[in-house]
Amino acid sequence: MTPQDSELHEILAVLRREHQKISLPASAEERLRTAISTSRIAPRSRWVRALALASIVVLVSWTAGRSVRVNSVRHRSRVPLTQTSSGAEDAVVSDFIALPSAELLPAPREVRVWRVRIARGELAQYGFNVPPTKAADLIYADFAVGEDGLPREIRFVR
Amino acid sequence: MSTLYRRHGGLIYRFSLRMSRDASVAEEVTHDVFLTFLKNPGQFDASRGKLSTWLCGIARRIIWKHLERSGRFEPFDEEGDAHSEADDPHMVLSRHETISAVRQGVESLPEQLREVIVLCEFEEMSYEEVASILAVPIGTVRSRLHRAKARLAKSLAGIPVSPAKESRR
Repeated sequence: MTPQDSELHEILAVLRREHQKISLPASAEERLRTAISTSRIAPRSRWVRALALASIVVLVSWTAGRSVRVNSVRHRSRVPLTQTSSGAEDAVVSDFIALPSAELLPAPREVRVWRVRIARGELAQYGFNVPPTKAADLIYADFAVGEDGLPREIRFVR
Repeated sequence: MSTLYRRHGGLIYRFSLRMSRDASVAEEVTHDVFLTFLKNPGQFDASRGKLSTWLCGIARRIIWKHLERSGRFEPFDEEGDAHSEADDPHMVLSRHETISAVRQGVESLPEQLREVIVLCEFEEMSYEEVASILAVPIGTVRSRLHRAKARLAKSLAGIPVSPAKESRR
């Protein structure tokens, strides 16, 4: 490395620190929320997600040759969810976690819990980061689905 | 969505700002990137890379369209590189001036070199990630980075980078 390269390297480090201090204006997030709530994106997205979830449920119940247990509960708050039979509770390995994809959705008046078996990679569409090496793993999960058909929360099952 | 926005919004905004040199355009691009993601989140394939990389790729396409529409796009010749003739061996720059000169050098790089400097050097992304965003081979990323640094080294020597000397693609 020549002295000039070395100096350039140092200066780029200074500019990198400068660059990384740049932050997104706070007003931008509020603007995005407004755009989502006033545009047609949300309904379309809801419809697509509801259809995707329904497809998963149908496919899983058909291929696995087992019925999907559907448990219904009524609640007005997002958490906690009280539900399912004691046998199902035994298999639960996590609390309900809010889906990142549902953060901007209104709180549901009624929630149904759907137990499905899905590939871990499918969780990416709900806003989870999934390591590519684990994307094909099949897992059981309980989805808390609002009366509008959109999933709000998830918990993982053994 | 809010979590994703807070996690990746800064990266998209910084990249857009560096490429467009306009805060309002950068904010608009960031806005559009996340709306695009919301419209069709299923387009993202986690097995093909990170979400940040994918979002950056969307931002890049929006920015390039904007630059082309506004007539600010400056194509870059992959084969050759321009050489400045304005060499002044007596030009000695202070530390402050050299930083300022390199900063200005980054600003005046052609887009294809500037985006590589921003992503590789400022955002510290790997060559693989940058290649994925730019949709070019890793070797192209390396060579563009090399050229970009060579030009910045000229800025360091007090030689102005001359975009006017770039030949059209």
